Order: sequence, then structure tokens, then C-alpha cells
Amino acid sequence: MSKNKKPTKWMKLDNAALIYPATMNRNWTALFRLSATLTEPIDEDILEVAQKRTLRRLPWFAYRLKHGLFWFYLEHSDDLPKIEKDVANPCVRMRLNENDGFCMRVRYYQNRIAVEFFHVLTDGTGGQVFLQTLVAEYLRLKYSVNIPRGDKILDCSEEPKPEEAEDSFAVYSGKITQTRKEVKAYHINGTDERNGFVHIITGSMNADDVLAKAREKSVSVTEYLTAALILSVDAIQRRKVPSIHKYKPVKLSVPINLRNVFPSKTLRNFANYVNPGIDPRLGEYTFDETLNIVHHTMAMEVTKKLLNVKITTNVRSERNTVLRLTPLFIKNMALKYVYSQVGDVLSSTTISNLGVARLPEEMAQYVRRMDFILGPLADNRVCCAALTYHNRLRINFTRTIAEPWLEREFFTRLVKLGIPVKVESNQRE
Amino acid sequence: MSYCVNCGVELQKSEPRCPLCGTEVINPNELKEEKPIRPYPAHVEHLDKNIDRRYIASFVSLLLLIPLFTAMLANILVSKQLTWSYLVLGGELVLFTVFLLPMIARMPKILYAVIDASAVSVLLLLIRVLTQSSWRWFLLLGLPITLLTTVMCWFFAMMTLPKCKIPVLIRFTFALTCIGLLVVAIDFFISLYKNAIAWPTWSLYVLFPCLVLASSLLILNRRARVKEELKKRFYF
Repeated sequence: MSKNKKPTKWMKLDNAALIYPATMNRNWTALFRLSATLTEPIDEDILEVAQKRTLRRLPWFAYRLKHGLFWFYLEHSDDLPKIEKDVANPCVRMRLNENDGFCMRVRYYQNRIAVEFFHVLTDGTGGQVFLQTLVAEYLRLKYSVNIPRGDKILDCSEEPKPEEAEDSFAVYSGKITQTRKEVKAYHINGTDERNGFVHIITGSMNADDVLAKAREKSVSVTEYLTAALILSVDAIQRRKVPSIHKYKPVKLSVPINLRNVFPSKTLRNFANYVNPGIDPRLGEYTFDETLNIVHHTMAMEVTKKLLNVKITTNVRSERNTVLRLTPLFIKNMALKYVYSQVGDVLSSTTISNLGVARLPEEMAQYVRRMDFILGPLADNRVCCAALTYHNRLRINFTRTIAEPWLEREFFTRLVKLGIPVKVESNQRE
Repeated sequence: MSYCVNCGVELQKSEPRCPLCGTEVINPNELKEEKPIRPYPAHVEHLDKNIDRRYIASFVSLLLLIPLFTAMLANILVSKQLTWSYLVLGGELVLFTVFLLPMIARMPKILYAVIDASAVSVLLLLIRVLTQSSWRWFLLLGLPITLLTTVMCWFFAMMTLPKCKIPVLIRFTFALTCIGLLVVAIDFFISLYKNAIAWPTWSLYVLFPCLVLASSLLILNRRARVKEELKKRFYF
């Protein structure tokens, strides 16, 4: 797309996004949410203008999901999504017809701006660029502050760049594929929450404390948290399942940002998953043993070559002629079946760590806090997401069952490991 | 600053009780403080209620009464008695037991198969009575084929259960063999009904391809590499 040309009016879903519209239903959409809490209450009018300018720079987020004969596709809209007031249960399913067909929604409450994205559009990294650009634009309009722009905070006076909308899976796929077959994992079950209330419990801690603990064991923060979470799920299984012979593996799905491995500038989905875990039937694992397993699984699987094989497997399935020629309604059924076999079922829960959000000083003085929340998953009833900002690591647990077993097990474990945790939640009074 | 005495975590001021264990927070030093702002608003966005399949199935069952009563009324008005409308009753009974009953009543799965087979048998019986034909076709053709087909459907249903540990290729082998044998059995009963020698004829054209395919799958199942390749190729 050359300069001055309007953005493409429609685009195909990227390879990772294909599964989400097929698996969505009237009560569940694959969502995630990023939010920034500012120092002053939000002005809705200014936010609306900021959103308009951000969408002009990032038109990839103003696309509507449409049905084709063979595939879903995204169609650009010149309209703007409505700014909404926030609700008590974030990431509750997105009704596309009520949202004017848009796959994202901007919500505000007190000092907080939150953007909820349907996964067909983007992943956490792309979402973070959108939120940071939106907040920068809001602050510029409200306080006339001059915020330096770059890769993470885009300049809204610039034209959109085509590489930002690239399907990088197709670009970086290779020749060799592998089977997706894996052993199914243990799932935490509990009492269904009436009306589908989504519980959020946020645990915040000093990021330096966690980093120091992780360094002590020569692992990364993500690996440290993953090991603690694996043992927390393991403890729940040991309490709930009476016989050792009925224990299932405890595995966690850890999303990997492929932009760190492949030189992509895309703002659409470009992530893959690694599922490190333990087999509790073999005995009780110590924290150090679990850390060791997680660390080495990650080291072994997060390599350019192995990730390339995983990407290729997915891209090959998409290019299968029979699948391509199958009408969408049949394809949806097939994809639903595939997801039931190789989706959430392979992991006990998900832990997504977006890393550290760094804002320029001009902007950081107005932004008090940033959060990352995963929407409820299809089969797993609890999942969590982490983001560090201003030296506070915030881990947000999302739960669709009444019992906070995993959160309690995890946060008390961190306290026992010597990391003080402060919690807050969306519990009803 | 309050801590949960049970969990050891610090609680944000907005928390009326520990979200991890439900223990109430009472800090004697902070009793008179203003109510802090909650991290989320009070308004809850509700989900649609789940589709009540049982309710819908009961409703459709009631709707089925309309064509039944219409048929009966027409039957009485024209013939002055109930005759052919019994066939509508039998047909609707089969429809109800096969599609609607599993949504309305929960019972052991084997019972569904028994009830479905009974409903089909009742329909066949009604046909026999109304057409005033002999018992021969009912006993030699209708009933055995219905029972055999039910047993086979039950067998297939068991094999598709997630609990089933039999490898997929072996399941297909069983399924193909069963289809072949069912066709032979149908051929046998037809021959018996015709008073002919009960020796399979046309059904062999179905049986042999089924057996050949089944044995090929059996052989493929022994080759781990081919099996893996098939899994990959047929993955969709």
C-alpha cells in the first residue's frame, strides 16, 4: 500500500485468529483486556477524539468480523466504536451485533481507560501498542503534553504502515510440520457462577522482589511464576482427586511473543504457546524440580526452529485444499472439534506475561498503573495474566467458577516464598 | 493497611473481606475512614440465559400433537373411525423417542436404545395391523432388522465416547466389519422371508470391500510411522 492510499477495505483473518470466530458462542468470546489508570478522572469526550485519531493511525482495529462463504473475514468500517462505561465483570462475552460489529471496545471507569480486544484482531503486544497510543493521544489532547513516539507509542499524524497488518504466520512458515497431539491435562472444576459473572482477583507485588527471587534460581520471572502456578494446580488436584492413578498431568499454557524470535512488525496475532508441566503420578515435585522442568522446557521449545515447525503446522492446515473448499458452516463445526481436541484441553490453565510496560517520562507521570487481564477461556475455568509497570508486577486472575482455590493457593505460595502480595478484586459487597 | 489473618496477603482498602478465603476484614484503626473507591463499578453485565433444551423439547413435543390431532380428526370425519392416523401416531412416536426424549429425560444410555427400538417396532406393528398383512414380514424382516440396527448403532455410539480407549483405526476396522455383517444379515433375512435358501448373494458385494478396507486399516495400525503420518495428513 503506497502513501496516501486508503487502507485495504477488507482482510483475511491471520492464521491464529481463524479458530476464534468458529469457537465463539452467545456466551463466550476469546477476549483480553488492557487498561491504564491515570491520575485524574477520564473525560469521555476527549477519549472519543483520542480513539478517533488512534483508529486513523491504526485502522486494523476498526474492522468488523463478517461471514464469507468459505472463511470469516474482516471488513474495515469508517464508523467508530462507542465509548462505554466499564462494568463489574470485565471481559464478559462481546456481542458483535450490539458492538456495531467491531471487535474491540473502549471502556472507562473513574481514572481508568480499558480496551477489550477480541482475539481475531490482535494479541497482547498489538493490544498494548493500541492502548499506549490511545492513552498518549488522550494525554496530548487533555494536557497538551508532547509525548515522544516510537514503536510502542505510534505517531497518529503518520500514515498506517502495511507491515503492521501482515499475517506473519504465513511469512515465517517453513516446510516441516509436526503433530499437535499431546496428553490432556488436569482441569480445575467448581461451581458454575450464576449469570456468567467473571471474577477478577489482582495480586500486585514489587517487581524487584520477584526478579531477585527469579535471579536467585537463575530463571526468568515468567518461569518462576509458571513453576509456582504449576505447583498450585498440582496441590488442588491432589486435594480433589482421591486416587494417584487418576491424576492427570498439570501443564500450563505459556504464550510466546514470536516478535522476539522473528523480525516481524505486525500488530496482529503473532504468538504461539509452550505447555510446560509435570506428571503428578510420578510423585510430589519440589519447587526447585518444577522450576528446573519449566526452565528447560522453555529453553528447548522456545527456539526459532521449533517455533517455525509449530507455525508451519498451523499454516499448512489452513492451506489444505479440502478445508479451504469446505463451506464455512461445516468448517466451523470441524474447527470446533479441533479446538476441543487440541485447545484448552491440553493445559490446566494459561499464564500470559506481557513483560514490562515502559512509558516515556512525559507520559508516565500521568499513568499510575497498567493492567492486563485475560478473558475467560473456553474450557479452563481459571487463567491469569501479568504485566509490570512502575516496578509493580500485577497478576490478574480471571475465574468463572465460584471458588477461588487457585488464586489462594498461588498467592499464599508466593507469600511463603518471601514475596509480599497485595490483593484486590471485583467481588460484590 | 490490613492483612488477611488466614492467607497472609495484604488487602487493598476497597476489599470488605479477603477475596481468597472470604475472611472479613476488621481493622480497628481504620473504622472511621471513608468508604474507598471500588476497583470496578457495581453494574454487572449479564449473560444470556442458557438455552433450556428440556423446555424447547417439551414445547416441540406439544407442537407434535397438532398434526396428530389434525390427522385423527380428518381420519374420523372421512372414515368415521381411526385407521391410517395410527401411522401418524407411530411416526411421531419414533420422532419423539429418537430426537426429543434424550433432551427431556436423563436415563442410562442403553435405555434410549431400548426405547428407540421399541418405538420403531410399534410403528412396524401398526403398519402390519393396518395393512392387515401377515405376521411373517414383521417377524422375519421388520423386527430382526430393527433389533440388529439398534445393536449396531449402540455399538458405534459406545466407540465414539471419549472414554473409549480403542485406537481410532481399530474402531474404524470394527465399524466397517459391522456394516458388512449387518448387510449380510439383512440379505439373510430377506432370503428367509422369500423362502429362498438363506445364503448371502448381493450383500457379498458390500461385505468384501468392507472386509478388505477393515484389514487394510488393521495393517496400517501396526505401522507406527504410517499411523503418525495419517494422523498428520488427516488432521483438519
